[in-house]
Order: sequence, then C-alpha cells, then structure tokens
Amino acid sequence: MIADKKVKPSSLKILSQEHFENFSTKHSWEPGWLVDLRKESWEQLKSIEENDLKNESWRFSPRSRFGYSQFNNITDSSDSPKFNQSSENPDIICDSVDNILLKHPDIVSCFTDAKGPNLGAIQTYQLINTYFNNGFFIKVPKQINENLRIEVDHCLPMSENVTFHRNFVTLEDFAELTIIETYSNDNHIHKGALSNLTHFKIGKGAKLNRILIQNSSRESSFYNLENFDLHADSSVVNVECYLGANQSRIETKGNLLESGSCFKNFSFVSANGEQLFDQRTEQHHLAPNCSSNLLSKNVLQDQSKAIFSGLIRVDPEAQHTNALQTNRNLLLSKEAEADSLPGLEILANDVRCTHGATTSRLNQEELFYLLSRGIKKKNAESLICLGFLEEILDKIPDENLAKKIRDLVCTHFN
Amino acid sequence: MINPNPIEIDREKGNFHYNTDYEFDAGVGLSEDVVKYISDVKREDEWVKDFRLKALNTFEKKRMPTHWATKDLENIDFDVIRYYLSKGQMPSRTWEEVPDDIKQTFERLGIPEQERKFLAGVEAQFDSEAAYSRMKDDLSEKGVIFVGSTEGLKEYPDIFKKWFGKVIPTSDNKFSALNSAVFSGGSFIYVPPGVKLEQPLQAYFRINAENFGQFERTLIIADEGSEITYMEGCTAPKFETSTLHSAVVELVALKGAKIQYVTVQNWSNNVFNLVTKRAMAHDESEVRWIDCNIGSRLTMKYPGVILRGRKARGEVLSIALANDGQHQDTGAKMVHAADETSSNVISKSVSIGEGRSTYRGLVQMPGHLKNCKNNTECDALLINSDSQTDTYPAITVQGEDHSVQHEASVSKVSAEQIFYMQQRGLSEADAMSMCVNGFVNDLIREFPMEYSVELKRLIDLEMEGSVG
Amino acid sequence: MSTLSVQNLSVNIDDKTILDNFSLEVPSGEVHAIMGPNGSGKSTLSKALAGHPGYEITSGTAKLNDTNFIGMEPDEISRVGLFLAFQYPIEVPGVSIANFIRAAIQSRMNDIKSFKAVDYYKALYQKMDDLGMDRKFTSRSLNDGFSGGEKKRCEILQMAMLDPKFCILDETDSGLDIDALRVVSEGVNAMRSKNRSFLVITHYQRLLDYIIPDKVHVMWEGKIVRSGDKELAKELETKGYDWIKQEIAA
Repeated sequence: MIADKKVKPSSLKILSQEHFENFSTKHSWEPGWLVDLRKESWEQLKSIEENDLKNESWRFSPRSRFGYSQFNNITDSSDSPKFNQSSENPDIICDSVDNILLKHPDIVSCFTDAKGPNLGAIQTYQLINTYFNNGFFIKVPKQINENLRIEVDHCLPMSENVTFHRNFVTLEDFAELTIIETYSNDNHIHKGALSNLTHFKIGKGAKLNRILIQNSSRESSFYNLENFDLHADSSVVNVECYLGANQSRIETKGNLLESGSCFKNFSFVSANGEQLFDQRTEQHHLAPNCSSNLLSKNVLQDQSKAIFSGLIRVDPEAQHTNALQTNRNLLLSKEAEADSLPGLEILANDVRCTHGATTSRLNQEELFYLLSRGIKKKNAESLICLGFLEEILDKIPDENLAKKIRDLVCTHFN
Repeated sequence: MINPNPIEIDREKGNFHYNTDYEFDAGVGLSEDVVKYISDVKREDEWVKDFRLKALNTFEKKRMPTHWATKDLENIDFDVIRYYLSKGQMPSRTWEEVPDDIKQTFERLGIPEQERKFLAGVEAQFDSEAAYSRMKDDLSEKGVIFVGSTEGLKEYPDIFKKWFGKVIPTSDNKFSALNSAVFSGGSFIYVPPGVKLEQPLQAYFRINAENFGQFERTLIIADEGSEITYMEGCTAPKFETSTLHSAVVELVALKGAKIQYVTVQNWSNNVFNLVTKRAMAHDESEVRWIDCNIGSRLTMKYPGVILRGRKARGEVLSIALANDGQHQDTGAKMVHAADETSSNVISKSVSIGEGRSTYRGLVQMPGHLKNCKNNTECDALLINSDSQTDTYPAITVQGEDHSVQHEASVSKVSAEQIFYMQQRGLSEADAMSMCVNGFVNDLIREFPMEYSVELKRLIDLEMEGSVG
Repeated sequence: MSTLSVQNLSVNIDDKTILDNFSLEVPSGEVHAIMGPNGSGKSTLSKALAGHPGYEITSGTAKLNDTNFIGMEPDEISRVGLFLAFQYPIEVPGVSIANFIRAAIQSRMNDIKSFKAVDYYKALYQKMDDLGMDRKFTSRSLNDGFSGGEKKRCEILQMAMLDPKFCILDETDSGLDIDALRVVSEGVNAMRSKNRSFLVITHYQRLLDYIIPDKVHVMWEGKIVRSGDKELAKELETKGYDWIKQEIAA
C-alpha cells in the first residue's frame, strides 16, 4: 500500500504496478544490470511525494499542464530515431539504444554513471529511467576531427501516448562533432508526450556543436532533460530552437568539471496561441578558469507564456570563473507573459559573473517605420522578431538550416 | 505574573512623553496569557486585544519558511524569548563592563558622549526631550501626529485604525503574525495634507525603554500632497541581549505624497533581524526605502511597494555588508497594480571574510496594465575567498506595454586595482577600503548627511582585518 | 638627489625568466629611454621595480639613492619616491580623482592634520589647467570610461601632484594623438630637474622628439644590448629591430 501523501498510482495509469510488470516482461531480453537499473528507478518513482512536485523548481509553472495522468501506454518507438552520418569511419558508434544494447553490452558504465540535470522534473526523470524505450547512442573516439556531422531525426509514430527516450553522446579526448537533432511535426495528430533524457560527456579538448530544433505537433507535450559534463579544455556550443508542442519543459545543465572548459548555450522560443515553454537552466562551475555563456531569447504572441529560470553556481574552488547569462523577452500581446528567475550562487571570490533580464514590447519606432513603407502589421512584426532572434540564428553553422528555421518562425506570424 | 501598578497617562495631545513607568514581568515564552497581559498593561481597547490574539493563532499555525530561506531560522527558540520588556527589565551593565572594541567603535564613529552610555546598555534611557522640544512644538503646530504605537491606537483610532494591518496583513508571513501579536514601541505618524516636513523625523526622538525594542510596529500615513522623511537606527553597535527582532513597518502614501524611509541597522552579531516592510502608494505618490544593513547574525528584509495608484513610483536603495558569521538576506518587492507606475531597485552588497549576502527580488506586472517600467540593478562585491553571495530575482511580466530591465553582477576588487593604488602610496588596507567605499558610493550619497559620514567610517571599520 | 641603480636583477613570471641579470644606472637629473620589441621585458621591468606581486624577483638589487627597495610592499616603494605611469591605467569605479590623489598625498604625510584642503585644490586645479584637463574631471571616477588620452593625462596629473623622485613612464605614448602627446610631454618636461630622474619606456621613437633623452638603451630578451645617445633611437627607427637582432647575432 502506498501512503496517502504519495502520488496516487491508480490515477496515473502508467504508474501502476501492473503496468510496470507488463513492461518488464516485454523487456526481459535486456541484460541483467539494466533490469536492475529500471527496477531501482521504479522504486524511486514510487517514493516521490506530492510536495516534491510543488517546490521552487516549478515556480510560476502551471503544473497541471505537465502531468502524465492522461496517458495509458508507452509507445513502441523502435523505428525512431533515424540517422544521417557524414562519415564512414567504423570506429564511430552511432546507433539506436536498442541496437547498442544488443551489440555493445560493455557500455554499462555509460548508463550507471550518467546523471540528469536535476532541476526539478524528478517525476519525468524517473519515468524515463524506468521506461525508456530507445533513444540514440553516439560515441566518437579519440582525435576524430574530420568535420564529423550527424543528423538525428526523431520521427515519432502517430500516437496519443508517451515516448521515453534516453540518449547518450560521448566525445573522447580531442574528438569533434556537430550534431543536429530535429523533432518535426510531419505527423499532425501526435497528441502524446515525448520525454527525452540526454547525457553528454565531453572529453579533454573535445568540441561539440549541437543544434536542436523542436517543432513538434501543437497538441503534444515535450520534455527535454539534458546534462552536459565538460572535461578539461573542452567546449560545447549548444543551440536550441523551440517552436512547437503545446507545453514544453526544458532542463539544461552544463557542468564545467575541469579547467579551461567553455559552455555556451543559445536558445530561442517563438510562441503563439496558448503555447507554454518552461525553461530551467544551470551553469555549474566546479573548476577554476572556466567560462560559460547562456543566452535565452523569447518571442511571445497571443496568450503564450515563457518561464526562464537560470542559475549560475560557482563552487569555492572555481576561481577565475567567467560566467554570463542573459534572458530577453519580447511580448507582442496583452496576454502574453514572461517570467524570469535569473539566479546566482557564488562561493568563490575571484570571479566575473553577470546576469541580465529584460522584458519589453516591440520597438514602436521600428514598427512604424516598416508600416510606413507599406508592410502589413503581421509581416512587420515577424521581420522585427526575426531581427531580434538573429543573434541566436547566427550561431547555426549551416546556412540552409538557419534559413529553414527562419521560415518556420515566419509561419508563427500568419 | 505581578499585577501592574497604575499607569500615568498624560492625555495632552501632541505630547511626546507617553509614560511607561511600570514594573512587571511577563516572563519568557509566548502564550495567550502573555499576549493578554501585554494588552492589559497597555490598557488597550478590546479590538486591539482581539487583533493580537488572532495574530497569535496565525503565528502558531504558520510554518517556518525554511523551504526557501536559510535553515539557520530553525535556531530560533521561541520559548526563551522575552516578549515584552519594561524599563525595570532592561538589560544593563556598568561602563567598565562594556567591551573595549565597542568603546573604540564609538570613538571612531564620533558618537556624542551622552549617547554612548545609552547605546552601550549602561543607561536605560536617553533623555531626548531637551534636544527636540523645539521640533515638537513645530510639529504640533502643523498638525503632525508623532506618537508611539500604543498611544496611536488609543488616542487616534479614527486616523490609524483605517490602515493598521491593511498594508501588511497579519497572515502575510510568520513573523508579521508574531509582531501583530506582541508589538510595542515604534512610531505612528500622520502628516496632514500639503504639509511638507523639511527636517527628517527620527526614531531617536521617541527613545524610551520600549523603543529600540524587539517588536516595533510603525505606521506612517502621509496625506495628500504631504512629504516626510523618517530615519531609524544608527551606525553605532547597540547592546542587546534579546536575539529576535521582528518589526513591521507599514507606509501609506496618499495621492501626491512622498515618503522616504531611511534605516541603518547595526545590531550585534547574535541577533535575528526579520522585518516586514511594505508601502501602499496611491496616485502620483512616491515611496523610497533607503536601507543599510551592517549588523545582525541574520537579517531578512524585503522592502516592498504596492503601486496602487496611477503614476506611482517606488524605489528601494539598499546597501548590505556581511562579515564573518553574518548573513544579509535582503531584497525588494515591487507589485505594479496601476497604469504608468514605475519602480527602481538598486542593491549593492559586500561580503567580507565568510560573510554571505543574498538578494531576493520580486517584480510583478500584470497584462491589464499599461506602460509600467522597472529597473533593477544588483551588484555584489566579494572580498575574501570564503565570501559568498546569491541572487534570486523573480520577474513576471504580462502584456505588451511594459518595460523591465534587470542586471546583476558579481565581482571582486581586482589585484590590479589594489596594486595601482598601492603604487600611489596607499597601504593595501586603505586601497581595499577605498575600493569598497567607491563601490557603494552612489548609494551612500542618497542617505541624509548625518548618516553618510558615519556610514563611511563604519565601512572602513568593517574592512579592517579583512586584508592580509 | 635621485639616482636609480639596478644591479643584476633577475625576474620570473610563473617560473619563466623574463629579466636576466639586468643592470642599469640612471644618474640624478637625467632622462633615459628604453626601447625594444614586444616581449623584450620592458613592461616586466617597470612592474617588477614597482613591486607588483605577480613578478618574482629571484636575484639582484635596485636602489634609489642608497635605499634598496627590492622586497618592499608597493606602497612603501611609492613612498620611497618611485612613481610608475601605467601603460594601461586601471579603472576604479566610485573613487573620484580628487579623493584618490588626496589619499595618496596624505599617505606620505607624517602629520595628516597639517593637510590643507584649500591648498590642495589650488595646486590640483593649477596642474589640471596646465595639462589641459577640464576641472570637472576631479569628481569623475578614476579612469572610469576615460579615453586612452584622458587616462594618460590623469597619470601625468598624479605624477605632478605626488612629486616623486624617480618616474617610470611605461609606454605613455601608446594610443595618443599628436596633440595629446604634446601636452603630456610638456607636463613631463616641466618636471625635469636635477633632483628628479626619468625612465621613459617606449616602442616608438616619436615620443623622444618631445621628451629628449640623455641616453637611450635597447632591450632584447631581458637584457640591455645597446646603449647610446638620442641618435640611437633614430637609427633604430630607420633600421628596425631586426637590425639589432643581427648586431647581436654577429
């Protein structure tokens, strides 16, 4: 029997003991260590209390939009994701997690050591660990730096259910990789929820360029939990474009574990209708002489809402840290809402840390100028907003891709 | 409990001295009996006693806010605190018993001789009558009411009851509830329409046993078009044995009025200083909170302004200095509830040794309003390698008509700056002091002159020993 | 009297030797120039002499008259009479120029009570007028938001007010236009006397047309490799630093 204070299992179908047992049976082909891991996560999931779900990490967020109570089943997504690699090098591992479990069972440590961002979505985190059904696994061996580019297309099946994916990206020392992930809404009636947990491990001197484009179906929910671990002198440039889904909860954490590492995170949200984007980030400096830069820009129309919570945390040993964080919001309508919670927890003293947040409307002078040249209001707004987002789009190395994204943003203004 | 002796009540309106010469002992710990006793001793009207008892109930029901605030709060033991001190119970000691460093501080800050004994706890009272009798006449001529909380509620209920407990409701937080149950002392001020007071009113004017007490309650009402500056606190360290100070300050600025409230806090390092301060600003009025927090073990204070009237303006200017064993947890709350309102928050903190400073802010602008603006700047300076700082602002804006800007930075005095100044002949300690003073300079200038000189000296004092 | 005598000075930064047994004599009343390519150790020399904590002096002495100031704290060295006009003057926000210079002057006084504000401001304004600085600058924060030229003028103003015995000008001319250069040079020249000496560190010969040196030294890889009179500077300008490189190799 589960005590009253705990989240009631019967109201959440996928949280029932019966469901877990059915799932385990279906996945009995998996290696023993994985079965144990899932069971452990299942136990953790059951022990989550109501209060845990209401705390500071959900401030301003309408939790009711992020539940799992309406879902009955977990989708079988063995066809997803699909890859497109630029290299034939056989040492580069790039495959779906299901296949990896069959072919490379020695990757246990990747699973057992991997951590999540731990920024509040504990229920999602444990659900993914218990029930993940595929995902992608990429490992780039030492010294590979031949402009390697991998495209991952998360084409999801038609569904009203949840999909849980666990993904791994490991770059060994001095490896370099560009990875582009797309979540598209070709399937218009995907009303389910996609929950992703991605672990990035960046070795010494390695470089990762990652671009994520989320343009999921309007009726779906999107959860994206990402944790980046950076080792000495490594660098990550992460660009995220959020356009779709009815509600998204995004948690991104960059851990600068060793000296000389650099974490850059650029993201934008273009929202209309009743879309909700709940973005929580953390830049955690554990070692000296590291730098991080986070820029989040949001354009909000109609009754949409964006929450940005960003924490820069500097440990006592992390002297000579240089950390920046900026959140800029453009509100285009009376009911659009932006909530900013930039935060700093600084325990070292020889540091430079700044954060800034601004919220405003469109510059009326600019708007008038465009209107006076005959441009229709919606077009003018879209042009100005694109200008506002250019700072992020500029970080996308592929011009064709950038153009595609600009076009997608424009569709939000019709 | 001992029954109180009859109280001498001077009913002359506008008279400063409200006699509180009685001896009794409410004991330690908090209960309904203690609350009733306090109310009886003050001969309060029934409605005040009810107010207190309801507040006690609320206090007991609310939990400690340790889910967002520091766990140090759990170290407060409510059972050992004296909730009411009369003259007979004031702590005292001889001048010889006063520690040398306190005496030296008085010397360095240039505190007048006559005040030193009071501040050091050697004398229970500071007779301010003579010094301010002229001002007292001037005020009564203008129709200004300036009395303690007990007298205010008893003699002028038609003025004060209207707003008492309305700006900060009892249930706002656990400590406003506590204060509402056991408050005494503090200032109740009413400024009639159009009266612009040139000289600041000071809490000093109302010294008696209750006044530098633990649970002061202040209510200032500035009627239409009036102006007032009120100052409380002092830079000199104040001798205290009580460990909990939980004050409530309510300000009401009616149409076109201006209130400036200046606080300098330098409580000793064993004190928990938890204060709720809020203002209600009506049309075209202006409220400014100017705050300097240097002492105490833990200060939690988030001056706020509810911008209720069109074109109202709220400002919080705050300096915090946290040294070893101290935590200054301060901030500002700006709630925009009318069109064309504006707010400005400037917060500068300096963390020395193992001191910790925290900024918590709230800016709220709903969508049905037009043309509101906010500007927030919070800067932290860390001096030593163990110094800490946190910043947690929360900004929520809805609608297309507003503009909000928030900036925060954390830095240290760089080695290059120190070397540059040393090359010109300044010692390392002097150079550091100069940089810190430079960092807070813009804000110190906003303090009335009486304070700014003392403040600079106090900051220098705090900086000593932080270097090397 | 203000003779600078540097003997066999060796200086390391992070265990790397930058100055290697460096020696130099600047007799009282003279102006010496030091030129050299980037990386030759010019800046290291000035910072090390001023006592910068990031520079480790492994051997040698430096004396002003008879006082060896190696090992002293930077402020002690300043009071011994050394002034360094920085190449990149640091910004100190919130500290006004007037207050800063006053604090520096007071740090040298045995009896602070004898300090007279009226005299101080009189002297300050006079020097500012001489340097073509707007008097409003007194209340501005030290170097905060100043242009390159304004920063350098501010350095010279401080030098004029503090009356040092020995002045090191570290690439004072970098970033200055002709007019600013002229004004700054006039300020320096006005301070030349038999009881004061200067060490002018510069990359370009141009400054030395305005501040005419008694001697010119060329630095290379942490040592002085050539000395001569002002003609040496002109020769260096015409032939370039490669010429020195060849001369040394030969």
